[in-house]
This record gives sequence, structure tokens and C-alpha cells, in this order.
Amino acid sequence: MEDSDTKAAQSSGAPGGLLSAAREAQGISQREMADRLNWLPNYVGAIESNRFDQLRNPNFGRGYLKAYGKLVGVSEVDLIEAYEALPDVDEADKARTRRVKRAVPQVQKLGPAIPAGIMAALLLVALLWYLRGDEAEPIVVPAVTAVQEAGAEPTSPLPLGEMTEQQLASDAVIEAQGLELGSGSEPLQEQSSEPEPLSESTAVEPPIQAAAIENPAAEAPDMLSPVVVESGPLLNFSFSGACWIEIRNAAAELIYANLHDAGNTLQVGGEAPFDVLVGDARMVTLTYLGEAVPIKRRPGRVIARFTVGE
Amino acid sequence: MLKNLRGLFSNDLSIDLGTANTLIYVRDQGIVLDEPSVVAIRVHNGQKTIEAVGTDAKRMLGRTPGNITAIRPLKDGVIADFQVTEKMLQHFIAKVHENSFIRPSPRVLICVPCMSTQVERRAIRESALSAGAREVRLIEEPMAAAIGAGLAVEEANGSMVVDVGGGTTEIAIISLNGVVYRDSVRVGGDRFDEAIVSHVRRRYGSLIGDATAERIKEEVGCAFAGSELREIDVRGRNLAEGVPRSFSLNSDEILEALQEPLTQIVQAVKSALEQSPPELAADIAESGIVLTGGGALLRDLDRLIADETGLPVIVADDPLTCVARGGGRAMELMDRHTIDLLSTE
Repeated sequence: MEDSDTKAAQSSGAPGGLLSAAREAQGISQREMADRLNWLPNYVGAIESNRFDQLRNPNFGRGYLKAYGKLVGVSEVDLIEAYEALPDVDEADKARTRRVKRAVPQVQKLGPAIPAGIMAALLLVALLWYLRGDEAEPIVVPAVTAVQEAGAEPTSPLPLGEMTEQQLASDAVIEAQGLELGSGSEPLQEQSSEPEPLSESTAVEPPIQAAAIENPAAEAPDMLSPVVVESGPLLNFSFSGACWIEIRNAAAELIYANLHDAGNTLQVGGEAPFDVLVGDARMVTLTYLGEAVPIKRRPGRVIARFTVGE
Repeated sequence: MLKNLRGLFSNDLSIDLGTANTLIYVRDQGIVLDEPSVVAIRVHNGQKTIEAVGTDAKRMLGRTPGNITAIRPLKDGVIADFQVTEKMLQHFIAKVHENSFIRPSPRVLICVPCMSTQVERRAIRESALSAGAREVRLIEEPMAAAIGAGLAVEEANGSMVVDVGGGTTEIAIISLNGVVYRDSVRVGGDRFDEAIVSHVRRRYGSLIGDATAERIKEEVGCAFAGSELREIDVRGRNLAEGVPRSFSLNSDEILEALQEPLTQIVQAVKSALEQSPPELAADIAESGIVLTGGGALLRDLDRLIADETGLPVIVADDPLTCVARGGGRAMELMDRHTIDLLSTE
């Protein structure tokens, strides 16, 4: 049976035929050939009859052919050509060794107009993203700056460390309602409504600002300084202009948040390090443990977020 | 976020960051870059600038003036110069995306030597990230080589891969998507070149460069005593006279010169076989050892290993690109089946 397969392969010019012809010409038996190649005896027969599926790993068909061909002196190129001409060899096997010399970038395939369109869309997305990023930053509302003038009464020191956030929000609104707008500002039309309980700490500021804007009867405190909150190392702020400030302690609890105006000073203590957010870094100077702390801000931005006492 | 946006215009890459050559495989496109891992640096007023990378830089090796240094930033399969490797990767990634109109930020899979340390792997990862990759995965070279050679790594069937690279030879026995045994010897194509240089200096009293040694290895180098005899004419600088001289080398001399590194590789293969579990050893005896890597192109290396071990030895198709191709295939497999072929750093 095996011999008839081999003869059929020889007549068809398949790789097995080339190999068996070369082997027989040298007078070597299949067994001897298997020994020389360190193969299992049945592998020689399987390859000579082109039954590559009988190999343990059919993917090695080319490797076995090359090793056999080298030993009996058959050209590797001829063997591989004959192997690829076999009907059983699938396309995936042929493609496996094909090397692509030149990359065709995906963008090139799209044509010139499509990348330009994508680029425009990208720019638009980037612009929107940039603008959205600006809005997300805490903003010092001009109307609020008018509320607090130098000489206003000191407001409550706002020891926020132990307050709930709802308390913080409602207190802030009450405080703002009690303020009076400065002479240069125009009264607003609407009264503030009841503040709603807040769930996130970041939502603290809008009620404060909103209430301050909406309340025409609010009175500005004469002076916000000095304010001392908690014990421990003190952060000393002095303000040369209107600036919102938020301070969080080491446990990320909001310990202070308020708006200050020119001439105010503020002292806040607590557990270091402090995470500080200032609405206008140009208007604030900070000293900590007797040393001036430079406030860095991103180019073109007035808002600064930084950590003190690390 | 920008990296992700740029990633839309980048191809997933599999990089074989080798000591001698760096190859990049792109999914659906094949091997798109195959260049020497060489960088030429120009020093001007104390400022270092990249003069050339890859093939251009390799031409400069040994031919540079005082202010240009051509260096190989990888040694023994791992990073020897972090900054230069980063620049080289940056250059290659950009070259693969050269028609792209925005800076690429691809997902990258890099093949690392199996015995590399955590620090060395982290260095490779960081280097690729700094070069602009948005995500870096690592895979052990023998695993990538096995996948590239078409071995059924996912089956409960032992397969042995010997990847003879430029700086190291990696030996691994693989079964069920995992490496059962791994070993790495710091012998590879570079050691072959060094052995040839040293042989020529000893025998002929002449000095030849690495590039000449590589040419000798490719043209007449062989690993087995019964191979066909070949000759080559080379020119080197005679050490005694100080002038260039021509002389002929034949393959038997080169075989003699390569004995020491070849013995180390054979010993490592034998040691792997000794330590493999018996079931896996039986599988290997049946299907054979697969040779991959540029070193597998050394004439009759397969015959030497077959002769020494008594096992079938098969040279993989296109052994130079096996690792990079296997890496690309591994990336597809990992995306499709979320299987873990990776060493986690």
C-alpha cells in the first residue's frame, strides 16, 4: 500500500516523489533514512507519500522536507514549490512565511479626503474637550467678589472638619444670605431658594455662589480675617484680591472653603499635608511654618491646586 | 486621552527587540521593519544628537570619526543604554507609521529574553512607553518563537524551541500555553562573530572587523564536520606590518573557531532535555526540536544538534522573523481569547 502511494507520488512530481527517487538512487532504505534523520520510521513513508496529516505536527511539513532534502541532495526550493502545489496545503500555511516588505499604513488607504475630515473632527473634539475642562474648574464669580469688601465683619470661622457636607452647604448659603452687596454692585432680582442637600463634596461651591448672586439683601462682612481653624501647623494666607479658597486635610476632608477679598488674611490649621485649591493664585501669598510657599499655576490659568506640608 | 486618540491612527505592533536586529510585525501586514539595533550618536558641543538609526547606523559601525559613536544599545538581549534604546524605538515606531500625519501611539508587544530579570523587563517596558507606546505587553521570546514557528502551544503536548539570537540562545519546553522549562545562555550570533575575529587574529595575525566576521559566518560558516567545504577571501589589517593583507578562510577553520560557542549551545540543549519531565521528553523525541532565530541560519546547526541529541531537528520557516511573527500572533490570541501568554513584567 505504502509503496503504491510512493510510486503515485513519484509520478506526480510531488515533494515526496522527489525525495523517494533521490533516496532510492542512493540505495538507502526508508528505515535507514529514518535513523539518519532521527525520525520515527513511519515519518519517512508518510512524507514520501505526501501524507503530511500523519505527522504529529503537520505544520512542520516544510521543516521535515527541508531536512530530508538536505540529506539526499534535493534542492530546497524545488521541494517547497512542489509542496505548495499540493492541493491539501491550505492557504494559511502558504501565507505563514510570506513576508510583507513594505508597510501600507492604514491612513494611506483611506484616501486624502477622509484623513482631512477626521483631522477636522478631532480638532473639534479637542477644542470642545478643552473648553469643557475650563468650565469644570472652580470659578471665582465676579458677583461674589463684590459681596466681600475690606472692612466687613469677620464671618464665622467655618471649622468644617467635623461638619457634614449638607451643613456646610446650608451654612454657606445662610452666610451668603446675610451678606450685603457692595456699593458698586447692582442688586439682583431673585431671592435664593432653599438649598438642596448635596451628595458630593465638590458640589459645595455652587450653592454658595448661587446664593450670593441671587440674594440682593446680603450684607458684606467688614473683615474676614484673621480666621483660625483647628490646631496643628498653620497655613497663613494673605489676599491681595478676590479669591476663592478650599483646603482639605490629610484625610481629604474639606476643612475650609470660602471667598476672600483684598486685605484679608486667613489662618487654617489641621493635619498636614493640605490639599489647597485657590481660585486666583495671583491674589494669594502663603506662608507655612514661617516659610513662604510659592504657588505654582499652569501657564495661562489663574486657578492653582497644590499640596502643602508633604 | 490624547494617547488614546492617537492610538486610533496607530497599528498594533509586535517588536522583536533583539541584540543584533529589531523586527516589527504589524497585524495584517506582516514584517514591516527589519533593521539592525544600532544607533549612531553625534556629540557636538557636549550635546548628543541622533545621527542615524538602523541600517544607516550599522554602516557606520567601525567607520566613524571621533565625534560620532555607533553603538548597540542592547546587550545580551537586554537594555544596556536606556536612553538610546528609547530613541531607537521611537525612530522605529515612527518609521512604521511614516505616512501617518499625527504622532503614533500604538499598542506594543515586546519579546523579552526568558531569563531576564524584573528590572530588565521593567526597563524595556518603560523604554517603550517613553518612546510613545500607549500600552506595552511583554512576552517571553521562546513562547513567541514557538507560536511563530507554528507549534501547537495550547495543546497538552511538549514542544521544544531553541531560539539562537544575536546575544542569547533561549531554550524552552512549552506545553499548554506555558513554559515548562526555560534556560538562556549568553551565546549567540555575536559570540560567533567574536570567535571568528579572535581565530583570524590568532591564526593569521590579522585584525578584521565585526562586519567582516559576520560576512564570513554567513558565507562559509558551518556547525557540522561533514558539511561541504567552502572558501572565502577576506582582507584584514596585519598586526605586525600594520597594512591590509588578503587571505583565504575555509569552512573547516570557521567550524574550529566556532567550537566553543557551539558546544555551549549543545550543552544547554542537552541539559534542557535532561531536566524535562518524561512525558514531554517523549513528545519532543517524536516531533523534534525546532530551531528559530538568526543563528539557526548557521549552516548545518540543525545537523549538529540532531547528531548530538539523537532527536529530529527542524529549522523553522523564515527563522529570523519567527519571534516577531509569533508576537503578533500572540497579540491576536490574547485579544481574542483573553488568555495569558505573558510574563507580567
